[in-house]
Amino acid sequence: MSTDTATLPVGRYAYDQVDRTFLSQRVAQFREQVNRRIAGDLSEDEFKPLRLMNGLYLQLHAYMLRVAVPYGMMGSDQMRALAHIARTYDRDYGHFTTRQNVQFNWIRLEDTPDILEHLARVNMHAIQTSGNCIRNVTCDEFAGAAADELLDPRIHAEILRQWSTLHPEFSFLPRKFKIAISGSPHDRVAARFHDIGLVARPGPQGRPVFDVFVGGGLGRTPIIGVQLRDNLPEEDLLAYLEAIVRVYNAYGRRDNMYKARIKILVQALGVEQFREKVDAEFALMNRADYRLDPAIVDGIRARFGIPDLVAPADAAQNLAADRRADPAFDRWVRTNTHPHRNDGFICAVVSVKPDGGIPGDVTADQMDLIADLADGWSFGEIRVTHMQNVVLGHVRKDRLRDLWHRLVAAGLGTPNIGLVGDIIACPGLDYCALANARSIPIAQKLSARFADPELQERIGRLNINISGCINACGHHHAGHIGILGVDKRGEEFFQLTLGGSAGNDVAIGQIIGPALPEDETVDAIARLIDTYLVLRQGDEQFIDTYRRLGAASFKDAVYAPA
Amino acid sequence: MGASLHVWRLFVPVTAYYACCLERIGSQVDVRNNRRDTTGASVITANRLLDGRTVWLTQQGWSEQIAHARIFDNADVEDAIKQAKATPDARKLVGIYGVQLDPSAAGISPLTMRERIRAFGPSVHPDFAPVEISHVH
Ligand code: HEM
Ligand code: SF4
Repeated sequence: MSTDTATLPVGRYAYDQVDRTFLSQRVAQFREQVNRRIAGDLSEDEFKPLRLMNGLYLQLHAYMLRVAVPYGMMGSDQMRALAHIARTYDRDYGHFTTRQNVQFNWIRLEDTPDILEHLARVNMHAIQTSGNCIRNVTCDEFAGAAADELLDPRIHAEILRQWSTLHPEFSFLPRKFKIAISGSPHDRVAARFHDIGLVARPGPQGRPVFDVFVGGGLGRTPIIGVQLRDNLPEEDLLAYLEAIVRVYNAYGRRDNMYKARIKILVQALGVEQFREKVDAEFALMNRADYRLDPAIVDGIRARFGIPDLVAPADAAQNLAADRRADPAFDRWVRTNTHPHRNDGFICAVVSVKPDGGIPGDVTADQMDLIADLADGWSFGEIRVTHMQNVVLGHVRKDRLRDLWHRLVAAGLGTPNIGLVGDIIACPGLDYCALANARSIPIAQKLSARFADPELQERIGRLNINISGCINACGHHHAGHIGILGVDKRGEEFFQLTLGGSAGNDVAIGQIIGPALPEDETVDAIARLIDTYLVLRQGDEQFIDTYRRLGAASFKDAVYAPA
Repeated sequence: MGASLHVWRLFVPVTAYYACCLERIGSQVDVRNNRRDTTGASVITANRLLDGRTVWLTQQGWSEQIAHARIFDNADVEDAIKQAKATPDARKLVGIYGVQLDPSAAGISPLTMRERIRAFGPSVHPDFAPVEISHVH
């Protein structure tokens, strides 16, 4: 076996020959399908589901390829492969998404088999990034590193990947199915906005137990997921999830795609009845077949590389001294890092949102640089975040300033994580065939307007999320300020929602009033933020002030400019 | 056996030819964008099969430049779309439909923002505006 621990990829599961054979067969199969389409043997209607199963969409200007980054983890070798694809087959760009995936916007159908072959060489693919299957499982971006983590969720995320990939029963669900998993008491995965959200922690004998949330989602009908089960033992994880998906598969609506997600089923049955059906299914299953034995889990865990976390004893002191010496660095550490479980280390968040830039867009050169920095500073390991940023998970504290210098030089050192510049925006009408309005230009104007880092810190924690249509890919319902693009006779309008949140204090934003024309939207949001700065008390954040005062105080600011 | 959980290792792999909901959403978008007034003028558009690029029907074939597009009276455009769909060229295209023009625009310019973006490229990347590379022929 080639599982020599020295060669295992840090933070990820090492593919074995079975995985690799599967990927290469899949590429060959798709190449054949593309050939048949080009020869005219397959109609577009026949071909479309096949290309979607391989992550290939047709957008406004070209094909778009969505590449899976399982639970958001990748290695420097994989990032370099993405850079190569951006350079060779796209227009020098890639785009990080809130689903922790990467999208390429300028792909040619005829190149796609070659691209997939290239991806397969670094154990990557575009499977489970589209279609009515269990999608790529998402995970905490600080998994295995965060100081507040109770349990590394990636092992179980990988188990779910293996369970769900080409699961024969679940390739034709009523609708797509999204699972997120966290091992921290601080929800960074929006567990209650997923079809299934799992929160793991150590239980008896140190074996994990899971709280299971079900029926959350955004889109046309935003719903906060409900807790279906607490303390689910690890050994029953697959059986119980399979029972949930079976109930959904049997009862979910296939007649109306707007009512097809599991959230609608859970609402229609009520959580008690839904739970009864799941429990009944669970009771019928041969649990021995599904039993997640500790030996299986440990076998999966053994294929994950572990970083060798050795730091000099004075690493933390060095960082403190570096921070005192350089206020700009100090600011970036305040905004763009997260505490690591090892005191000599820290998690660094690379902002892919420069002032006035396109959220999530990276050039091929930046991808190569991120790969180099990951090799130099974080054991070759890279994480894509649900906020469309990148994390280097294990950076030695005494080496952080060096890293920061390099990020700043490459335009990747913007100190705005969690602040008004850290905007989530979907591709919107600039690329997306389903869009009503553009998302990116609003994000760019807001981020340019609030570029001043001092102002951003003064405003404090503020998530602005923008979607170009009701599908809500930009999570607008979960934004403290949400912006939704609507179409009025071919022109763009924007509807504002306030008070959404995706964390432990989960909430759905409420519409504040009529939609605004494009040229008034940014000014209205600026007035809203000014109003908050006047009304805030003590160390309140935007969401606190909003919750204390309600929408009325802000409504005037939006609709009645001085 | 190792610690493998791959269900697809245990079952015969199925290639599910499942209908995709996106298709239905997509066709609704087409309906929305295919709406037109009884009067006015339109052009005809599609995406090229091989590379997905946006193209416009001209007097002779299809061009990436809307400026070269052939203009139809709205009264005639349905027939013209039908004809375009019946030509051999149609096999190399995806989603042929009509786009109403803005009568007040200086040159040929669609009425809706969506179609203006298809015609002139993403507004956030002026450097990615379509350039004349090739025709379908
Ligand atoms: C560009 C092509 C895209 C298309 C055609 C597309 C399509 C859709 C559709 C149709 C839905 C609604 C599903 C439903 O409610 O049943 C949806 C939801 C969603 N998409 Fe996208 N999307 C695209 C891009 C993205 C991107 C770039 C992201 C990440 C930034 C993303 C993340 C999501 C999320 C988080 C949801 C909401 C999850 C939920 O339904 O609860 N999508 N997308
Ligand atoms: S929210 Fe709408 S516009 Fe934005 S990416 Fe999703 S489908 Fe496209």
